[in-house]
Amino acid sequence: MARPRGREGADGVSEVQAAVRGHGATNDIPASLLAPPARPWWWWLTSDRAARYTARLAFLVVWQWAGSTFQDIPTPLGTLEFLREEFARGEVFRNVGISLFRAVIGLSLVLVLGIAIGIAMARWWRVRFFLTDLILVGITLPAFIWALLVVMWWGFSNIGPITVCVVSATPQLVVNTFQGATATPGKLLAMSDAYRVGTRRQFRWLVIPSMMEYIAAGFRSAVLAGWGAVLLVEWFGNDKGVGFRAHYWYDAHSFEGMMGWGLVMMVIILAFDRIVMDRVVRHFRSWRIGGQQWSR
Amino acid sequence: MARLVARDVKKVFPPTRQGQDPVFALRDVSFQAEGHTFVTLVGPSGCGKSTFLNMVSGIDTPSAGTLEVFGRTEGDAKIGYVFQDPRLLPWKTVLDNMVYVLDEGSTDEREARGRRFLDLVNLGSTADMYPGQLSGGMQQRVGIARALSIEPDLLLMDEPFSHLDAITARDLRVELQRLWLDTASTILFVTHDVLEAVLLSSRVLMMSSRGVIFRDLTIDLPFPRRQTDKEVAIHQAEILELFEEMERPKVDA
Repeated sequence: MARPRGREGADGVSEVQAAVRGHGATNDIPASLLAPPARPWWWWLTSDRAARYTARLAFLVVWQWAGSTFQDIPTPLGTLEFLREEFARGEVFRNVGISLFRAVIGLSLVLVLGIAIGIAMARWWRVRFFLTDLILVGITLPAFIWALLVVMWWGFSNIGPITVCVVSATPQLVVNTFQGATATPGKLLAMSDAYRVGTRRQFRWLVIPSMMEYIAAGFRSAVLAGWGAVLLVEWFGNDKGVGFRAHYWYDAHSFEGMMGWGLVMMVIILAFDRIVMDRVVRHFRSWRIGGQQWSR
Repeated sequence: MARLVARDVKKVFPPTRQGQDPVFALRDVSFQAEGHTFVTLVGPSGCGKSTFLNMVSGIDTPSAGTLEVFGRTEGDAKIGYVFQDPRLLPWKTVLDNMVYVLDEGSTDEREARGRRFLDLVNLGSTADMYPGQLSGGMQQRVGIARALSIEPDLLLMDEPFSHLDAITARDLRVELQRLWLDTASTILFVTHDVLEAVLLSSRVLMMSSRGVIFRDLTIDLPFPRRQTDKEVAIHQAEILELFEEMERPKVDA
């Protein structure tokens, strides 16, 4: 005989069962489970957002203190003042425009070349072995060597920055595209062959989408490398552009000038990454996110 | 409906390294299947069943022998393939996955056709979802709908229910019988599950682990069949006995 698990009440229902039934009704659930927990006023100080803002504030305070204590360190207020003057002189827009023009041309070439070479290396093993060492050279040879070389070859021109942007950023995209192309699921390719799906549709519906995440990730690092390369060439040998302007203030021994242009470089790359690349990556991941939402 | 003719089909996977032996996946497979019939290749894992299906579908080619598939009309026979795993494009919606394999007609016509066959497996409402949002059983049904949507002369099925839980698999077997009775397809089914073979097939080809067909049986029971039918259990026992008999000399040796 089963062991009784509770005293039987008058209606023959044991107390344990009655308690279980009671929990099924919504009005019996304690209010503390239905409402968000009460939080003290200082709760936001312990949040992740507070940690980020605290770090930024602390950084600014330390920076201002260091700048006003040591002569060789620029202060945040001094840097802002410098930037305001530089804006007023019209230097910011002019030089940023020129650098962006070079970066856009260079990175467009990187996009075309990187994807084409990456796919070719995955598709034909002869191409792969022919190019492996060259890609290795592209990845390992420091950008400043290229920068000095192009200055010696072409002097002050647009060709130099664009060339270095291409040679130092393309390998990054090639490597990622190659990985993406070899990661195309073989089982889906076999399925497509079994259904006699045409080559063009296989490419557009299967091969390219399966590579898109890799290409987006590769282009993200290519943008960083390419932008850095443009600035480097402008620094070493050019009479226009963000890098040139930073060098100009370096020659003038202006710490605020160096720091101010450093900030401009940072803002541009961050803006591009957050506004453009983030969206591109999210777009190509949307099918995954859809799946995750469902399973959550 | 299709006519499938296999004559002395052999498949050898050559050694990839020095000192390795070639692998004989199929030693000698010959049979014919024709008309509205459900033929099942049943045998232990690694006996070459899936390799045979891949060769019929054209993904792979035989090392020797001939393999011919004739459709209802002149030209290439239409062959649908349901794999062990659903093999859907994860970044495309369910409907796009249907449209992917269809090549006749305008986009609208292909979408309408895709929807019609999704309705056939009761998944019309999932057309705009991504495969990742569906359960394993639902994904496999999309795979079946996709195979049926090309109105195949020959439908190949490679252990399509082996990855599913027992209840889902049982329901899908019932559904598959209904779909087959409604269509004019010839089905070539592969499984290592003897009960599944008896339940679904009008003909069972038993394969040994050596890669040969050693028995060709007709299952003469009315459709639709149920797993709980006594006759099904009797046939299942008989086939299992034949497998034991075939393996006995090897065990004794």
